[in-house]
Amino acid sequence: MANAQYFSDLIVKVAAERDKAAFVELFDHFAPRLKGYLMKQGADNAVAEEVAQDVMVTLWRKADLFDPGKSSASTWLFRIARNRRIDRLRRQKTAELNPDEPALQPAPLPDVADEMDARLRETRVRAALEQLPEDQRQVVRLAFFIGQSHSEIADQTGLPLGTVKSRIRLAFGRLRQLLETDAAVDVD
Amino acid sequence: MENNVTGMDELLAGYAAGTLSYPAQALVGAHLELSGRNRGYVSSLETLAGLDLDGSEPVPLSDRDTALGAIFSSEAPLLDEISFSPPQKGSVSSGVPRSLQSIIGSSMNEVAWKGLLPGVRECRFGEIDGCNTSLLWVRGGRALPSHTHHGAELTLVLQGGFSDDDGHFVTGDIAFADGDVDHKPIADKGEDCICFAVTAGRLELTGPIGRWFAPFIS
Repeated sequence: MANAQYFSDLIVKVAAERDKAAFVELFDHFAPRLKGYLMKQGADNAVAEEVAQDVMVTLWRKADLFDPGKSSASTWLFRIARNRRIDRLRRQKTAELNPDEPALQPAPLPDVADEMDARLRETRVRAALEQLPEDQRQVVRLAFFIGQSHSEIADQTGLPLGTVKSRIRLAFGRLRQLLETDAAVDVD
Repeated sequence: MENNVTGMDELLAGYAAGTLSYPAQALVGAHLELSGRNRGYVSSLETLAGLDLDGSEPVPLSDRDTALGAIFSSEAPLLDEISFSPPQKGSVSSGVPRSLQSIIGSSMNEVAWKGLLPGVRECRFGEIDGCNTSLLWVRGGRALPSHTHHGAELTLVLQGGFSDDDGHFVTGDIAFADGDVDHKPIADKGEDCICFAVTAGRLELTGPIGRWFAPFIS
C-alpha cells in the first residue's frame, strides 16, 4: 500500500472541500474492496454491498472525523465497517425482541486508538506478521482475517481442536510480543 | 492481572475483528476506555485488519453509478450518528463507560440493584447475544461466595478492586476465567467494588463473522 498517503490526502480533501472527484476515487478504490472483504468473511453479495455502501456514506458525511496522523484510510474504513456491522446486527436482533427496551438499544462502540503514527504502525504490523512462523500465521489468517471459529479452523485444517486453540493462543501472544519488542527497540 | 493473561490477547483480537458476542465486545471497549494498557495492541490489530481490507480482491458493485448517486443525493441522517463521535477516555466516576451505556444505561445511580447478600448487590441484564450479563456491587472488604461457572467469565472492574487466586484486579482490569476456575473473590478494603460481568457457556472468543450476517440473510 505504497499509496496510503494518497488515499489519506483524498479523505482530507473530502472533509475540507466536499470534493466529489476525490470521493469518487476513494469510492472506486475502497467500495469493491470492502465488498470483497465482507464476502471473504461469509457475507452474501447483497449484504456485502449494503454494508460497503453504508461505510462509503459514512466516509462522505463524516470525513472530518478522520485523523490522518492516527490511522490510515484503510484502518479507518475497516473500523467503520466493523462498527456498522455490529450496530446493524444489534438492530436486527433487538427488533425481534422488544425495540423499546432501552437495555437492548444498539451501542456505539468507540474507537480507542493510541497515539502512534499511522504509517509507522503499518510498517511494524506488517513486519510482525511476517515474522510469525507459518503455522501461526495460518491460524491468525483464519481466525482474525476470515473470522472462523476454533472448530471451523479445526475442520478446515484437519488439526485437532486442542492444537488449534493452543496455536491461536501462541500466535496472538507472539504477535503481541513482536509488536511490543519492536516498539521498545524503536524507543532507544 | 499479569498472572491472568491467558486468553487475553485473543480476546483483544476478537474485539479488534468485531467477532465477540455483543456484551463481550462492549466489555472490552470499556476496558480500552478505562485502561491504556492494551490500546496499542488493539490499534495494531486494527491496522492489520485495515491492511487486509486494502489487499482484498475487489468485487465490482452491481450498480456503481446508482450507488454513488445515492450517496451524493441523500440527505437522510445516518443510522447512528453517535457512533462516530470521538471516544471518551473518562473514568467511571463520571458515569458509565460509553461502551457499556447501551446495556447499563448512562448513570450508575439509576441501576436497579437487587440485594443478593449483606454487602453484595447485583443487577442482571439478562441474556444478551447468548451471554449472561450483569453488574455486581460488593462492599469494600467483603468476600463473595465461592462460585464456579460452566463457561468462560469475563469481569471488568469499573470501580475499586478485588483479589482472587488469579491475582489483584483494579479499575479497568479484565479478569478472565475459564470454566474450571473456582472463584473466591474478595473486594479490596475501602472503596466499594463494582464489576461488569459477562458469562457464557458457549463463549467463542473468535466466533465466526458469518454468524453476524446470518440474521440479514435469513
